[in-house]
Amino acid sequence: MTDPAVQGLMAALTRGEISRREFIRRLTALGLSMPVIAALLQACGGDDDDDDGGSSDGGGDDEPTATEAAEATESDGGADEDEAEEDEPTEAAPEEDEGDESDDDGGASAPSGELVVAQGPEITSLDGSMSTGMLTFNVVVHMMEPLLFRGDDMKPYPHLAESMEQVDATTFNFTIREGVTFHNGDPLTVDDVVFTIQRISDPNTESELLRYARTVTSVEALDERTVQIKLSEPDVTFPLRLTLVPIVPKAVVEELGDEGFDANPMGTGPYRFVEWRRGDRVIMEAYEDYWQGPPKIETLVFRGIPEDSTRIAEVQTGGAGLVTNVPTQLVPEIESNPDTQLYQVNSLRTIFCVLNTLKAPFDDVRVRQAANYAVDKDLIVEGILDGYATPTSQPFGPEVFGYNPDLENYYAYDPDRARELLAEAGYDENNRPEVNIFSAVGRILKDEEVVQNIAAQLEEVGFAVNLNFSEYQAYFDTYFGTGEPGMDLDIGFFSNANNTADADYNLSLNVHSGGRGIYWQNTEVDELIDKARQTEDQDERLALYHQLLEIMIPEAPWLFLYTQHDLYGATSKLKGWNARPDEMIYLYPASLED
Amino acid sequence: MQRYIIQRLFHGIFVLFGVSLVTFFLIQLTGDPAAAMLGPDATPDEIQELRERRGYDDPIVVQYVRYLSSIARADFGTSHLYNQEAFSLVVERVPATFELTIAALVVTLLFSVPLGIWSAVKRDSMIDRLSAIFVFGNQAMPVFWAGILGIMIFSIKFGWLPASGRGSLKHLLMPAIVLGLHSAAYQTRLLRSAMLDVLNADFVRTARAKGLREFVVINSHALRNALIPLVTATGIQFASLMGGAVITETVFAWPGVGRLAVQAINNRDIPLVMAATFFFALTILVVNLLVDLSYGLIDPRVRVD
Repeated sequence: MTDPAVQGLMAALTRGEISRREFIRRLTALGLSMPVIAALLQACGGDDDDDDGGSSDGGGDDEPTATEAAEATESDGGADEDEAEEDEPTEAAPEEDEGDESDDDGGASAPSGELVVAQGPEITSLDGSMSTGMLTFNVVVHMMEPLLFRGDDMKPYPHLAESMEQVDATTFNFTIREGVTFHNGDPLTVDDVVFTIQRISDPNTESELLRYARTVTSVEALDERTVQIKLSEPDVTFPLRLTLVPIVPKAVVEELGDEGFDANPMGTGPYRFVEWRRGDRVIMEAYEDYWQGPPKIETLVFRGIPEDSTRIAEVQTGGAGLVTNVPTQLVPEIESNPDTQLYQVNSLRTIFCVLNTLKAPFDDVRVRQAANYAVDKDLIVEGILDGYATPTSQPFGPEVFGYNPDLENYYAYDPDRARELLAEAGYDENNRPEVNIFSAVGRILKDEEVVQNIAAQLEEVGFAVNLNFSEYQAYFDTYFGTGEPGMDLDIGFFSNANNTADADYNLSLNVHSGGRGIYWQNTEVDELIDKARQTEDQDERLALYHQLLEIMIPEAPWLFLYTQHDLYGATSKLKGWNARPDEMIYLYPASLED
Repeated sequence: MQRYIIQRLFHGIFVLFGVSLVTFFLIQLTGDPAAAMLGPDATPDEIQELRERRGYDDPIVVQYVRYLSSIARADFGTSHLYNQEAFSLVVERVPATFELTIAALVVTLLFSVPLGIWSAVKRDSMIDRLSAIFVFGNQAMPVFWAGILGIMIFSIKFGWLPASGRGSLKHLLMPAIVLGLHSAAYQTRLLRSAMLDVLNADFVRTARAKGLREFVVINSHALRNALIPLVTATGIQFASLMGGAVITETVFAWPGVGRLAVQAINNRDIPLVMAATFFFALTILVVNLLVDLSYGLIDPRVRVD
C-alpha cells in the first residue's frame, strides 16, 4: 500500500488523469493481485466510476481501444455495404478486391511457397458435409466451397451461386455459377448442389450440418443452372447458414462412399487435396484452374497442435506460418520477435453468466440487476485477460447483426447502485442473498480466475457466494440438466460462439424457451425472436432485435460480461490475410512475401 | 510351455473383460454422451435423436451387453467424432505410438543400464552422487514440463530440433529423450540396488576369489543375476511409457493412440474410447506375458515346462 508507484497511480486516478482501465493495467504490471487492485479501486472512491468507465470507452487512452483495433482490422477486408442489398447479395465478395490489389505486385506469377497453419485440436473429418466445427471448416473451405461466401464483414456474398433470389418467404432460388470445375475437371452442376443439400438433410448421414438444413423441405433443380430450396417456415437466416455448407461432387462421393470421400476429399476450391496424415497434418496444393484464378501460396498445410506453448514455439521457430489462440501471456513473445506478427480481432464469442430466475434470489429482477452493477468488467478484462476482451452489456458483441449501440454501457460498474438494489429487495448484512456459482475449468480462457473474481466482486456488494468448479462435461450436465435445468445452479458461467454472426443464433440457442439451459422465460421475447427470423426486411429485423434487447437487458436474465478477442501469431511474411471475428481462416487472398 | 501360454492368454480375456467393464461404466458416469458429442449448440431434439439412434437411452446394462456382443464380432462401432470405424482409427495410430514408446525405452536402457551398474560398482563415488542427482532431477520434473522446457531450449533457443510433429528422426529425438529420461531415472535406481544386493552375494565373492577379472565378475555373474528385477521393471516401465506417451503425444503433437484417446474422452466418443482402452490393455497384457516368458531365458530355475 505504501508503494509510491501505487500511491502515484491512485492519485492520478482520483484526479482523472488516467482511466480506470489504465490504472488496472499498470497495477497488474506492478504484480499486484486482483483482490488488492479491487480494494485499491474501492479506496479511490466509487462515485466517479461511471465517468471513468465512460471516458475510457471514449478512447481517452493513447492506444486505440480493443474495439477500435478490432474494427480497424476488419475494415481492411470488408467495406460496409448498403444494408438494403443484404438479402439479395449480388456483389462480389470482398476477398476478390484484395486479390486484385495483391495481383499488382505479384503479377501473373505462379503460386509459390508453403504455409503451415497450426490450430489447437486436430481435424476429424475432411468431408465438408460432416462437421460443423470451424476448425474443420477452415481446412475444408480451401477445397470445397459454399453457394454463398461470408465476407470479412460477416455478410453473405455470391460464391458458387452467382445469384440468389428469394421467391417468397419460404422459397429461395440459386443460380449456379458457370465455368466452375471440380479438381477432377468435372464442371459444377445443379445436381451436385441438390445432392449436397439432400445428403446433409438425411439423418442417416449423421451429419452435424443437419442443423443448418433442418427447415429444408425440398431441394430441386429447376433447370440446368437453377436450384430451388423450399423451407418449412420463413427463415431469413437460412442464407447465412448456407455459407457453412460446402458443395461436394455427387459423382465422386457416390463412387467412393462416405469413408472413401473423407479420405480423398474433392471440391471446387482454390486448393486440391494432397495428403492427410491423420492426427498430424493435412496437405493441399494450389489448384491452377480455380475459377477466380490460382491462389498465391502453393502449398497449404494444416496441423493440430493442442499444447499452447508448442503451437507458439512453432511460429517462433518458423515451423508454422500461422497459429491460432495465442495465450495472452505469450503475446509479448510474438510481438517482440521481428519475424512474427500478432493479429487481434474481437470475436463472435460472448462470455456471460446465466442467472437462474426460476428461484430465489434471482427471481427478483432487482437482485439480477444488482449482480450486473456489482461486477466491474474492466477489472476482469484488463486485470485477468490482459485487455484482450471487450466488455459488453448485451448477449453479443457489436460484430453481430442485432447489436444495439444505444444500450452499449447499460450496466456500467456501480457497486453503490448494486447495494441499493439489494437493500430494496430486502437484503442486508445479516440476510445476504446466497448464490451458487458454477463453472467448468479449462473450457473458457482463464475461466477459473474470472469466476473467482466475479464471486469476490459479488461478495463485495453483499452476496454470499459459493464456488463450484468441475470438469466441463460434468458442468454441462449441471448447466443443461437432463431435462429440467439444474436447480442447484444460481449462476452459470458460459460462452457462446455465434456461428452466423446474426442475433438469431445466440437468441434461439440461449434465450428462446425452446432452447436448452434456459433459466429465464419471456413470451414477448420468444415472439420477437420468432418474428425476426421471419422478417425479410433487414431494417425492420434490426429494429425487432433492438426492441428485444430493450426488454431483455433491463430484465437482466444474464450477468453480461464481455466478448473475447481472438489472437493469432503469424510469420511477418504473411500478407493479405486478416483475422476474422468468426474464427474462420481463409487463405485464398493471402501471399508470402520477403 | 505352450500350455502355460494358452493359460495366460485365457486369463488375459478376463482382464480385457474387466477393463472393458470398468471403462464402459466409468464413461457413462461422466454424463450424457449424446449431449457431450453434440456440444453446447445442439437443440434438445438433436440430442434426443442421437440418443435414440445410438441407443444411449437404453439401460446401461443393455448397452453393455450390446457392446460385448459387437466386440465378440470384432466390431468396436463407429467413432462419432471421425465417422470412421473406431478400431481402424486406433490401428492406424499404433505405429506412431510404438515408435515413440520403443524409442523412449531404448533411451531409458541406454541411460539406466550403464549408469545403474556404474553407480553400484562405484558406490558413494562422484559418479554415484551425480547419478543420484540426475535421477532425482528427472523424477521431479513432470514429463509435460520437461517437454516444454526441451522445446524452449532445443527448438526456440538453438533451433536444432523441430518443436512438434512426426516425420524424420529429428522429430522423434526430443519426445523420445524426454519420455525416456523420465523412466530412466527410476530404472537406474532400481538396477543400482539390485546390483548392490548381488555384489554382496557369496557367489560374487567366490568369483572374485577365483581370480576372475572384475569385468567378467560384473558382467557374467553379477549383472546376469540382477537382470530379473530389471526386466520386470522394464515391462512395467513399458506400460508407464505408454501412459506417459499420452502426455508426450499431446505436448509434441505426436499423432499416436494416446492423443487420440484424450480427444475421444474429451468428446465422449464412446466407441473410440473403448477401442483405445482395449488397445492399451492388450498391449500391456502381451508385454507382461513376454516379460514372464523371458525369465526362463534369463534364469533357468524359473523355466516353465
